[in-house]
Amino acid sequence: MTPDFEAEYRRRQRARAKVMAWILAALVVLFFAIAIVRLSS
Amino acid sequence: MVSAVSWTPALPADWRDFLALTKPRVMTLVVYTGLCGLLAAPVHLHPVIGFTAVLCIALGAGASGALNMWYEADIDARMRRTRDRPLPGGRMDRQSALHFGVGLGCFSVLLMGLAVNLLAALILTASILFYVVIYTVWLKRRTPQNIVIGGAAGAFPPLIGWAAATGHVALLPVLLFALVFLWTPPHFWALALFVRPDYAAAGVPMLPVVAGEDATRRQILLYSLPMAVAAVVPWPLGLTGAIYGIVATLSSAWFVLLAFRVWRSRERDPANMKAERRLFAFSVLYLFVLFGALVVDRMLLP
Repeated sequence: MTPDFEAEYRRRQRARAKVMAWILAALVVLFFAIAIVRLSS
Repeated sequence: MVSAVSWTPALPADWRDFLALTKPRVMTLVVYTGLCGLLAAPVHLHPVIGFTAVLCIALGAGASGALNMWYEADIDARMRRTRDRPLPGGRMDRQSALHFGVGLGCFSVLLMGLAVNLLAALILTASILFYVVIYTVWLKRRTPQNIVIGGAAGAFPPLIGWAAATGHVALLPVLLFALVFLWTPPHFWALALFVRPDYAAAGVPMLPVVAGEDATRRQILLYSLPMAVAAVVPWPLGLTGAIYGIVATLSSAWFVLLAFRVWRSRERDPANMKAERRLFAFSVLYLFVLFGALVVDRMLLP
Protein backbone atom coordinates (compact mmCIF):
# COMPACT_ATOMS: atom_id res chain seq x y z
CA MET A 1 0.00 0.00 0.00
CA THR A 2 1.60 3.25 -1.10
CA PRO A 3 1.24 6.36 1.11
CA ASP A 4 -0.98 8.03 -1.51
CA PHE A 5 -3.25 4.98 -1.72
CA GLU A 6 -3.49 4.75 2.06
CA ALA A 7 -4.32 8.46 2.33
CA GLU A 8 -7.14 8.08 -0.22
CA TYR A 9 -8.34 4.92 1.54
CA ARG A 10 -8.55 6.74 4.88
CA ARG A 11 -10.19 9.80 3.28
CA ARG A 12 -12.97 7.70 1.82
CA GLN A 13 -13.45 5.82 5.08
CA ARG A 14 -13.74 9.10 6.99
CA ALA A 15 -16.16 10.57 4.43
CA ARG A 16 -18.39 7.47 4.59
CA ALA A 17 -18.30 7.47 8.40
CA LYS A 18 -19.32 11.14 8.48
CA VAL A 19 -22.25 10.59 6.08
CA MET A 20 -23.37 7.56 8.10
CA ALA A 21 -23.21 9.59 11.31
CA TRP A 22 -25.40 12.33 9.80
CA ILE A 23 -27.90 9.75 8.55
CA LEU A 24 -28.08 8.05 11.96
CA ALA A 25 -28.53 11.39 13.72
CA ALA A 26 -31.36 12.30 11.30
CA LEU A 27 -33.01 8.92 11.94
CA VAL A 28 -32.82 9.43 15.71
CA VAL A 29 -34.69 12.73 15.29
CA LEU A 30 -37.20 11.16 12.88
CA PHE A 31 -37.93 8.15 15.12
CA PHE A 32 -38.35 10.46 18.12
CA ALA A 33 -40.81 12.61 16.14
CA ILE A 34 -42.73 9.54 14.93
CA ALA A 35 -42.96 8.21 18.49
CA ILE A 36 -44.31 11.54 19.78
CA VAL A 37 -46.90 11.75 16.98
CA ARG A 38 -48.02 8.15 17.42
CA LEU A 39 -48.24 8.46 21.23
CA SER A 40 -50.25 11.67 21.03
CA SER A 41 -52.76 10.40 18.43
CA MET B 1 6.24 -23.75 1.43
CA VAL B 2 4.49 -20.47 2.22
CA SER B 3 5.17 -17.57 -0.04
CA ALA B 4 4.70 -13.96 0.92
CA VAL B 5 2.27 -12.28 -1.46
CA SER B 6 1.79 -8.54 -1.36
CA TRP B 7 -1.94 -7.73 -1.28
CA THR B 8 -3.51 -4.34 -1.82
CA PRO B 9 -7.13 -3.89 -0.78
CA ALA B 10 -9.51 -2.19 -3.22
CA LEU B 11 -10.50 1.36 -2.42
CA PRO B 12 -13.84 1.52 -0.61
CA ALA B 13 -16.56 3.06 -2.78
CA ASP B 14 -17.16 6.74 -2.28
CA TRP B 15 -20.47 7.67 -0.60
CA ARG B 16 -21.43 9.56 -3.77
CA ASP B 17 -21.33 6.27 -5.66
CA PHE B 18 -23.88 4.80 -3.25
CA LEU B 19 -26.02 7.86 -3.88
CA ALA B 20 -25.65 7.34 -7.66
CA LEU B 21 -26.87 3.73 -7.23
CA THR B 22 -30.25 5.07 -6.11
CA LYS B 23 -30.81 6.81 -9.50
CA PRO B 24 -31.60 10.22 -7.96
CA ARG B 25 -33.09 11.65 -11.17
CA VAL B 26 -35.59 8.83 -11.51
CA MET B 27 -36.29 9.14 -7.80
CA THR B 28 -37.33 12.77 -8.29
CA LEU B 29 -40.36 11.78 -10.37
CA VAL B 30 -41.18 8.85 -8.08
CA VAL B 31 -41.09 11.05 -4.97
CA TYR B 32 -43.11 13.76 -6.71
CA THR B 33 -45.91 11.43 -7.86
CA GLY B 34 -45.92 9.71 -4.45
CA LEU B 35 -46.16 13.07 -2.66
CA CYS B 36 -48.94 14.22 -4.98
CA GLY B 37 -50.86 10.96 -4.40
CA LEU B 38 -50.55 11.62 -0.68
CA LEU B 39 -51.60 15.29 -0.92
CA ALA B 40 -54.52 14.47 -3.23
CA ALA B 41 -56.03 12.12 -0.65
CA PRO B 42 -59.10 13.58 1.08
CA VAL B 43 -57.75 13.19 4.63
CA HIS B 44 -55.37 15.11 6.85
CA LEU B 45 -52.12 13.29 7.56
CA HIS B 46 -49.71 14.52 10.23
CA PRO B 47 -46.71 16.14 8.47
CA VAL B 48 -44.23 13.87 10.29
CA ILE B 49 -46.06 10.73 9.11
CA GLY B 50 -46.45 12.23 5.61
CA PHE B 51 -42.74 13.01 5.47
CA THR B 52 -41.95 9.46 6.64
CA ALA B 53 -44.19 7.99 3.94
CA VAL B 54 -42.51 10.03 1.19
CA LEU B 55 -39.09 9.15 2.63
CA CYS B 56 -40.00 5.44 2.49
CA ILE B 57 -41.17 5.80 -1.13
CA ALA B 58 -37.85 7.49 -1.97
CA LEU B 59 -35.80 4.82 -0.15
CA GLY B 60 -37.80 2.03 -1.82
CA ALA B 61 -37.18 3.61 -5.23
CA GLY B 62 -33.50 3.97 -4.35
CA ALA B 63 -33.33 0.30 -3.36
CA SER B 64 -34.98 -0.70 -6.64
CA GLY B 65 -32.46 1.41 -8.58
CA ALA B 66 -29.51 -0.08 -6.68
CA LEU B 67 -30.68 -3.66 -7.25
CA ASN B 68 -31.35 -2.86 -10.92
CA MET B 69 -27.78 -1.59 -11.31
CA TRP B 70 -26.43 -4.60 -9.43
CA TYR B 71 -28.16 -7.00 -11.82
CA GLU B 72 -27.57 -5.02 -15.02
CA ALA B 73 -23.91 -4.10 -14.60
CA ASP B 74 -23.05 -6.07 -17.75
CA ILE B 75 -25.65 -4.25 -19.87
CA ASP B 76 -24.71 -0.87 -18.39
CA ALA B 77 -21.07 -1.45 -19.36
CA ARG B 78 -22.07 -1.78 -23.03
CA MET B 79 -24.21 1.38 -23.21
CA ARG B 80 -22.72 4.85 -23.59
CA ARG B 81 -25.49 6.37 -21.45
CA THR B 82 -24.77 4.07 -18.48
CA ARG B 83 -21.18 2.89 -18.71
CA ASP B 84 -19.92 5.40 -16.15
CA ARG B 85 -22.25 4.14 -13.42
CA PRO B 86 -20.47 2.97 -10.22
CA LEU B 87 -20.38 -0.75 -11.10
CA PRO B 88 -19.34 -0.69 -14.79
CA GLY B 89 -17.06 2.24 -13.94
CA GLY B 90 -15.20 -0.07 -11.53
CA ARG B 91 -15.70 2.22 -8.54
CA MET B 92 -17.70 -0.30 -6.49
CA ASP B 93 -17.83 -4.08 -6.08
CA ARG B 94 -21.10 -5.87 -6.88
CA GLN B 95 -21.53 -7.26 -3.38
CA SER B 96 -21.61 -3.76 -1.87
CA ALA B 97 -24.33 -2.76 -4.33
CA LEU B 98 -26.37 -5.88 -3.52
CA HIS B 99 -26.08 -5.38 0.25
CA PHE B 100 -26.92 -1.70 -0.07
CA GLY B 101 -29.99 -2.38 -2.23
CA VAL B 102 -31.38 -5.20 -0.07
CA GLY B 103 -30.70 -3.27 3.15
CA LEU B 104 -32.30 -0.09 1.87
CA GLY B 105 -35.35 -1.97 0.53
CA CYS B 106 -35.95 -3.86 3.79
CA PHE B 107 -35.50 -0.69 5.83
CA SER B 108 -37.96 1.31 3.70
CA VAL B 109 -40.65 -1.38 3.95
CA LEU B 110 -40.17 -1.88 7.70
CA LEU B 111 -40.30 1.85 8.38
CA MET B 112 -43.41 2.25 6.21
CA GLY B 113 -45.13 -0.65 7.99
CA LEU B 114 -44.25 0.51 11.51
CA ALA B 115 -44.63 4.28 11.14
CA VAL B 116 -47.32 4.68 8.46
CA ASN B 117 -49.54 1.65 7.77
CA LEU B 118 -49.45 -1.95 6.58
CA LEU B 119 -51.21 -1.43 3.23
CA ALA B 120 -48.70 1.23 2.13
CA ALA B 121 -45.87 -1.11 3.18
CA LEU B 122 -47.39 -3.98 1.18
CA ILE B 123 -47.76 -1.87 -1.98
CA LEU B 124 -44.21 -0.55 -1.51
CA THR B 125 -42.95 -4.15 -1.26
CA ALA B 126 -44.87 -5.06 -4.41
CA SER B 127 -43.39 -2.08 -6.29
CA ILE B 128 -39.80 -2.96 -5.32
CA LEU B 129 -40.27 -6.65 -6.18
CA PHE B 130 -42.04 -5.78 -9.43
CA TYR B 131 -39.22 -3.52 -10.58
CA VAL B 132 -36.40 -5.83 -9.53
CA VAL B 133 -37.81 -9.31 -10.20
CA ILE B 134 -40.48 -8.87 -12.91
CA TYR B 135 -38.89 -6.02 -14.89
CA THR B 136 -35.13 -6.24 -14.33
CA VAL B 137 -34.56 -9.97 -13.96
CA TRP B 138 -37.41 -11.46 -15.97
CA LEU B 139 -38.63 -9.14 -18.72
CA LYS B 140 -35.94 -6.66 -19.70
CA ARG B 141 -33.63 -9.07 -21.52
CA ARG B 142 -36.41 -11.27 -22.92
CA THR B 143 -39.16 -9.25 -24.52
CA PRO B 144 -39.80 -5.91 -26.23
CA GLN B 145 -42.86 -5.67 -23.97
CA ASN B 146 -40.40 -5.16 -21.07
CA ILE B 147 -41.34 -1.58 -20.32
CA VAL B 148 -45.05 -2.08 -20.98
CA ILE B 149 -45.41 -4.52 -18.10
CA GLY B 150 -42.44 -3.12 -16.17
CA GLY B 151 -44.07 0.30 -16.33
CA ALA B 152 -46.34 -0.80 -13.51
CA ALA B 153 -43.37 -0.53 -11.13
CA GLY B 154 -43.14 3.21 -11.72
CA ALA B 155 -46.90 3.59 -11.47
CA PHE B 156 -47.11 2.48 -7.83
CA PRO B 157 -45.94 5.69 -6.03
CA PRO B 158 -49.24 7.67 -6.26
CA LEU B 159 -51.05 4.55 -5.07
CA ILE B 160 -48.60 4.22 -2.15
CA GLY B 161 -48.98 7.91 -1.29
CA TRP B 162 -52.77 7.61 -1.25
CA ALA B 163 -52.68 4.38 0.78
CA ALA B 164 -50.26 6.01 3.24
CA ALA B 165 -52.72 8.86 3.82
CA THR B 166 -56.01 6.94 3.89
CA GLY B 167 -55.14 3.33 4.68
CA HIS B 168 -57.11 2.10 1.67
CA VAL B 169 -57.18 2.28 -2.15
CA ALA B 170 -59.82 4.21 -4.13
CA LEU B 171 -60.71 4.79 -7.79
CA LEU B 172 -58.70 8.03 -8.22
CA PRO B 173 -55.30 6.53 -7.25
CA VAL B 174 -56.08 3.50 -9.44
CA LEU B 175 -56.65 5.88 -12.37
CA LEU B 176 -53.38 7.66 -11.51
CA PHE B 177 -51.72 4.23 -11.55
CA ALA B 178 -53.24 3.59 -14.99
CA LEU B 179 -52.08 7.00 -16.19
CA VAL B 180 -48.41 6.42 -15.26
CA PHE B 181 -48.63 2.81 -16.50
CA LEU B 182 -49.87 3.94 -19.94
CA TRP B 183 -47.50 6.94 -20.00
CA THR B 184 -44.41 4.74 -19.57
CA PRO B 185 -44.33 3.08 -23.05
CA PRO B 186 -44.56 6.34 -25.10
CA HIS B 187 -42.02 7.96 -22.75
CA PHE B 188 -39.45 5.15 -22.96
CA TRP B 189 -40.01 4.29 -26.62
CA ALA B 190 -39.47 7.94 -27.59
CA LEU B 191 -36.13 7.70 -25.76
CA ALA B 192 -35.40 4.26 -27.23
CA LEU B 193 -35.87 5.60 -30.77
CA PHE B 194 -33.02 8.07 -30.51
CA VAL B 195 -30.72 5.87 -28.39
CA ARG B 196 -31.51 2.73 -30.43
CA PRO B 197 -27.85 1.99 -31.33
CA ASP B 198 -27.04 1.91 -27.61
CA TYR B 199 -29.78 -0.64 -26.85
CA ALA B 200 -28.85 -2.70 -29.91
CA ALA B 201 -25.19 -2.80 -28.83
CA ALA B 202 -26.21 -3.92 -25.33
CA GLY B 203 -28.52 -6.65 -26.71
CA VAL B 204 -31.59 -5.24 -24.94
CA PRO B 205 -34.70 -6.16 -26.99
CA MET B 206 -36.30 -2.71 -26.91
CA LEU B 207 -39.13 -2.28 -29.41
CA PRO B 208 -37.19 -0.13 -31.94
CA VAL B 209 -34.42 -2.77 -31.98
CA VAL B 210 -36.77 -5.73 -32.41
CA ALA B 211 -39.75 -4.37 -34.38
CA GLY B 212 -38.22 -1.35 -36.10
CA GLU B 213 -38.80 2.38 -35.92
CA ASP B 214 -42.14 2.62 -37.73
CA ALA B 215 -43.80 -0.04 -35.55
CA THR B 216 -42.48 1.76 -32.45
CA ARG B 217 -43.83 5.10 -33.65
CA ARG B 218 -47.26 3.50 -34.22
CA GLN B 219 -47.22 1.97 -30.72
CA ILE B 220 -46.29 5.33 -29.20
CA LEU B 221 -49.39 6.91 -30.73
CA LEU B 222 -51.59 3.94 -29.81
CA TYR B 223 -50.53 4.04 -26.13
CA SER B 224 -50.83 7.82 -25.87
CA LEU B 225 -54.59 7.64 -26.64
CA PRO B 226 -55.70 5.50 -23.66
CA MET B 227 -53.14 7.41 -21.56
CA ALA B 228 -54.93 10.66 -22.41
CA VAL B 229 -58.27 9.06 -21.49
CA ALA B 230 -56.89 7.87 -18.13
CA ALA B 231 -55.56 11.39 -17.50
CA VAL B 232 -58.80 13.22 -18.28
CA VAL B 233 -61.44 10.76 -17.02
CA PRO B 234 -61.17 11.65 -13.26
CA TRP B 235 -62.79 15.01 -14.12
CA PRO B 236 -66.06 13.76 -15.74
CA LEU B 237 -66.25 11.08 -13.04
CA GLY B 238 -66.35 13.86 -10.45
CA LEU B 239 -63.15 12.72 -8.74
CA THR B 240 -61.38 16.03 -9.42
CA GLY B 241 -62.36 19.61 -10.15
CA ALA B 242 -62.13 21.82 -13.20
CA ILE B 243 -58.53 22.97 -12.57
CA TYR B 244 -57.22 19.44 -12.97
CA GLY B 245 -59.72 18.71 -15.75
CA ILE B 246 -58.68 21.64 -17.92
CA VAL B 247 -54.94 21.14 -17.36
CA ALA B 248 -55.29 17.39 -18.06
CA THR B 249 -57.32 17.98 -21.23
CA LEU B 250 -54.94 20.59 -22.68
CA SER B 251 -51.68 18.85 -21.74
CA SER B 252 -52.97 15.43 -22.89
CA ALA B 253 -54.07 16.94 -26.22
CA TRP B 254 -50.56 18.37 -26.64
CA PHE B 255 -49.04 14.99 -25.73
CA VAL B 256 -51.19 13.21 -28.34
CA LEU B 257 -50.27 15.86 -30.93
CA LEU B 258 -46.54 15.29 -30.26
CA ALA B 259 -47.12 11.52 -30.46
CA PHE B 260 -48.92 12.08 -33.78
CA ARG B 261 -45.88 13.99 -35.09
CA VAL B 262 -43.64 11.10 -34.00
CA TRP B 263 -45.95 8.68 -35.85
CA ARG B 264 -45.67 10.76 -39.03
CA SER B 265 -41.89 11.11 -38.79
CA ARG B 266 -39.78 8.85 -40.99
CA GLU B 267 -36.41 10.07 -39.71
CA ARG B 268 -33.79 7.29 -39.53
CA ASP B 269 -30.83 9.20 -38.10
CA PRO B 270 -31.07 9.27 -34.26
CA ALA B 271 -29.21 12.60 -34.20
CA ASN B 272 -32.01 14.24 -36.20
CA MET B 273 -35.00 12.76 -34.38
CA LYS B 274 -36.45 16.07 -33.24
CA ALA B 275 -40.06 14.88 -32.88
CA GLU B 276 -38.98 11.98 -30.65
CA ARG B 277 -36.76 14.20 -28.48
CA ARG B 278 -39.57 16.74 -28.15
CA LEU B 279 -42.05 14.06 -27.06
CA PHE B 280 -39.56 12.59 -24.57
CA ALA B 281 -38.83 16.01 -23.01
CA PHE B 282 -42.52 16.93 -22.86
CA SER B 283 -43.51 13.56 -21.39
CA VAL B 284 -41.51 14.31 -18.22
CA LEU B 285 -43.00 17.81 -17.94
CA TYR B 286 -46.46 16.33 -18.60
CA LEU B 287 -46.45 14.17 -15.48
CA PHE B 288 -45.09 17.00 -13.34
CA VAL B 289 -47.78 19.39 -14.57
CA LEU B 290 -50.60 16.86 -14.28
CA PHE B 291 -49.82 15.76 -10.74
CA GLY B 292 -49.16 19.36 -9.71
CA ALA B 293 -52.58 20.35 -11.09
CA LEU B 294 -54.17 17.50 -9.13
CA VAL B 295 -52.78 18.82 -5.84
CA VAL B 296 -53.64 22.46 -6.63
CA ASP B 297 -57.14 21.33 -7.61
CA ARG B 298 -57.55 19.46 -4.33
CA MET B 299 -56.31 22.40 -2.27
CA LEU B 300 -58.19 25.21 -4.01
CA LEU B 301 -61.57 23.69 -4.77
CA PRO B 302 -64.05 22.71 -2.05
